Amino acid sequence: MSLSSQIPVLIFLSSFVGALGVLLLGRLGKGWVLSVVFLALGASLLFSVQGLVFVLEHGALRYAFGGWPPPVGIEWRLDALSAGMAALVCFLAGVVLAVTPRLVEKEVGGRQVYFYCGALLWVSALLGITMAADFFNFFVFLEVAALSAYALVGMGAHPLAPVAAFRYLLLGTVGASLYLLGVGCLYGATGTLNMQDWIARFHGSPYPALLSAGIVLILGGLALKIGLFPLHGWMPDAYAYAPSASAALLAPLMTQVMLYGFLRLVWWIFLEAKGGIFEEFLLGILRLLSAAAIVAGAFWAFLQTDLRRMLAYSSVSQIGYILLGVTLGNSTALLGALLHILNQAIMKTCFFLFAAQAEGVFGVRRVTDLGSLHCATPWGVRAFWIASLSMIGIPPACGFFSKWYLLLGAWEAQKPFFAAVIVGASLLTAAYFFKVLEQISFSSEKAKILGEGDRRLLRPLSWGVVLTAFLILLLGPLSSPLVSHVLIHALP
Amino acid sequence: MISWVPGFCVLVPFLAAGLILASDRRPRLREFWTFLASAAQFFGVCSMAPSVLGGVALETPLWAWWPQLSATLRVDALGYLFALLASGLWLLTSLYSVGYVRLQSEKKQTRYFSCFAICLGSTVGIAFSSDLLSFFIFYEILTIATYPLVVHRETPQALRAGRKYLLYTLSAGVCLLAGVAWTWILSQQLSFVPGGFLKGTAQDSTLRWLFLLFGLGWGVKAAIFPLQGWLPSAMVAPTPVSALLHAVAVVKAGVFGCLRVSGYVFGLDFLRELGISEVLAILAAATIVGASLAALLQDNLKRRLAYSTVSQLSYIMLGVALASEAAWRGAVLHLVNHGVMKITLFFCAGAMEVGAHREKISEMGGIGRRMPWTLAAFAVASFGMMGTPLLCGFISKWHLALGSLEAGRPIYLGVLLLSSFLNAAYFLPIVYRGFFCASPDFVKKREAPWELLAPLLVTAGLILLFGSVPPLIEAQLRLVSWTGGSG
Repeated sequence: MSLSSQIPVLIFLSSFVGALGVLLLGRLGKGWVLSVVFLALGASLLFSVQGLVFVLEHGALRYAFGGWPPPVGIEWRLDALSAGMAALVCFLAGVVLAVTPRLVEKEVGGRQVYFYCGALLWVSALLGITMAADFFNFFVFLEVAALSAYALVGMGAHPLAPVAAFRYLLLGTVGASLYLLGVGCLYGATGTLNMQDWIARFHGSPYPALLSAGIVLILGGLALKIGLFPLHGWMPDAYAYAPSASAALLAPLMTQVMLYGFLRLVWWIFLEAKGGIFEEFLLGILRLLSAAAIVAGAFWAFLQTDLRRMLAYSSVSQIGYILLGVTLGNSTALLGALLHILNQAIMKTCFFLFAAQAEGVFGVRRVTDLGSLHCATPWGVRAFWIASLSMIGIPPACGFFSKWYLLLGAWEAQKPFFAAVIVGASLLTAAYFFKVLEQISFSSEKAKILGEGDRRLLRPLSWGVVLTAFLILLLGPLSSPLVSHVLIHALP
Repeated sequence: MISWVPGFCVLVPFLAAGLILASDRRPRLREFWTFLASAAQFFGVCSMAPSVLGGVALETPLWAWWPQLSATLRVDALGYLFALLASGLWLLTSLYSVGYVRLQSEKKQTRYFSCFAICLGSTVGIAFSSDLLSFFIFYEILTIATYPLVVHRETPQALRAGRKYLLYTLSAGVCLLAGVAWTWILSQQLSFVPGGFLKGTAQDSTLRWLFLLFGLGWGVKAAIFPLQGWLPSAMVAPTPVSALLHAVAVVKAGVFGCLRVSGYVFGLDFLRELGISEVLAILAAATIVGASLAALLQDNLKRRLAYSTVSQLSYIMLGVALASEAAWRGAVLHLVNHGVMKITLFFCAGAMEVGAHREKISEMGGIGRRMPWTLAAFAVASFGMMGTPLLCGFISKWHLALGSLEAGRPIYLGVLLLSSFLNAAYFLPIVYRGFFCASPDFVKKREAPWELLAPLLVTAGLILLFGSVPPLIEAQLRLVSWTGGSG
């Protein structure tokens, strides 16, 4: 057995073992913890990239645990999409953790070891989600990711952090239960949990109603986890009151991986099974919900006075874009959705690192207090500009290109209403971002003096913000080779 | 022919913007980068003259999109004229800007100069774009890079103007994007083709809607009625911004979009078949007259100039709408000539603002005693605007007038004449009172500093040269005759 065939499990194990290693070595000092964290994430990233190169060359990699062939044993599947997603998760988590050690020290204090353990556990669960090819296995990772996320949110010093975490936990558990119930239905109707096997048995099932119910329950549960409007209730609080380092870790990746799971199930499994009712009815409803999410999220974001809450509502709106791409039903739109997942993850990292600068270093949360940040952290503010423009969809930043494919997809699907929503909502996005940008850059008179800030805290965060902004600019022009060399192969 | 020069001309200002940002604390170095970039760009554009005059299209391939879309910078006669105008005037405006911001002691000059550079890079990008998607990309960069310049002074009034500006231009961008995507879906093509490529790709009613989207897209920047509202408010910006961006680069980008979409996407003949020309001509005529009347009512000189811009831009639109050979030539000529004349007027307004602290027309009586050269340049540009022979404004108006007769629409000749009359009515009083009314404030001769005076004298000289030296007029006409929008 060659090493390449072991890649899926190596990707996961590197991070997972790292999580345990952090617990064991935690007592020896912070230096040890951090080295284990970066070693683990670096190894996972390396294996994911190797996996990506391998699957682009040789096609998808299937891994049967313990040598038990599916459908009896548990199966993992690594294709271009999951390898790319895994690489993205490791890379961004690595960037965030690399620039925040001092911030974590300040915000979490004595519980740092648990923070890093939780973070690695969370990363390994996300990696598991990207590769799971079995409904129940998928659920297990969903729960591991969620449980560690609750802990990361609840660690904050903000008085509302435990409340936010509890609310997240309640709604997250409802979502997980719905998902599990759905898996039960699917299992009851076909007698299998392996996804490929399930597709094969779909049409022979004697209980079509149970299958439909299962699909609806699974997608409903995932929609809750994603935070699809109107099920986004947990999101603003969780992202606003978590420690700013946790928020920078969770906000970009959690949603994107959940969205990945959603589109994986929809396109690779449910649509593959050709269930009939599913395409017409369920996708129609989801499309409308996505359009509503785009508009409502942007609207609420406009009303927020707290930077992180605004960013959270902006996520609600962007989730709508991605799900619209998933549900428009053609591969151009799906391509747009995939590209938007990537872009969105990078943009949100940039935003939340900027928010971490504002809050962790200068103690500013409110949009109206952001005034003199441009003196305190000029490059951070420039990066924020780039990320905001990308979010609005101004070329040549990457956000434009994903919207372009989404737009083409909407025209291709002959749905001018959704095309109008996609382009029109850019204006709403512009409205709430320029509200902030105006405060940050052009209101020096009413701004309060923030002072220098702790440079040791500020410097690495600025690097992180600038790096992500640079990536945003780079990914714009690079989106065409990215699409034609990688993403094309990731489509079903 | 593949060449890196077009790419160089577009890229240089962007690089300069980065360098300007990086030399935040060193004003001399910052100004040096501005001059270097504008000189390099102008030189680059000039160096392409032989090949453009020789009929060779230079190309810089940028990137290929999926599916089967490739973006290339290509220099044709129309784009070349626009790029030459923008880059040449940028060089002059850089000098003017340096003098202006020093005297006004503007804050945040780093932001000012870097945004200016980005604006010019994207303007030349617009000129050289060979397809709708690259055009849109540069168009949006231009939109955003202008915003910090509009709100530069950070007063509540400026912020309000900025919001209005963004509302108008971003909405326009949205319409344009929708139109571009729709065009791709209809025809699987986005590259500009002389004479257009959309004919027969869909039902006529669909294409009319598509044109409406495009029209909203460039109509805002071109300030065609009823989309002109942002332009007068944007006059709160520093004067060099109004001069170069709100008289040349930004608004002309809109007009240039009109020329590209009409001539190279739809085709002028097809537009006439669709009945769009008719509507466009009426709108343009209404804008010409209405904006001139509005200009009469303004007391603030810059606002009067802004309304005059609104009116003059519609000359170009009218030329497109008339859809005859001569009218098209007149439109393209006016794109260039109006740019030179209007920037002169704005330069003069800025010189008076800085040198004599006068912004209102009612307070400018006798200003000619103090600033004779400035007011003389203003007079030359005013007469040019009216279309006086021997000045460049005459040449373009002559072709527009010929075009309206060629198209069998003498009524638009009447509109042009009426507009010339109105031009006289709102420009000449300024010149007359400046020279012939006495004011106790203006006794001694004291011009604005040379950084401000030199550019405006140069542009006034250009107005004279391009209106009265036969070889120059001939060369201009030859270039223009190659821009053929009717195929």
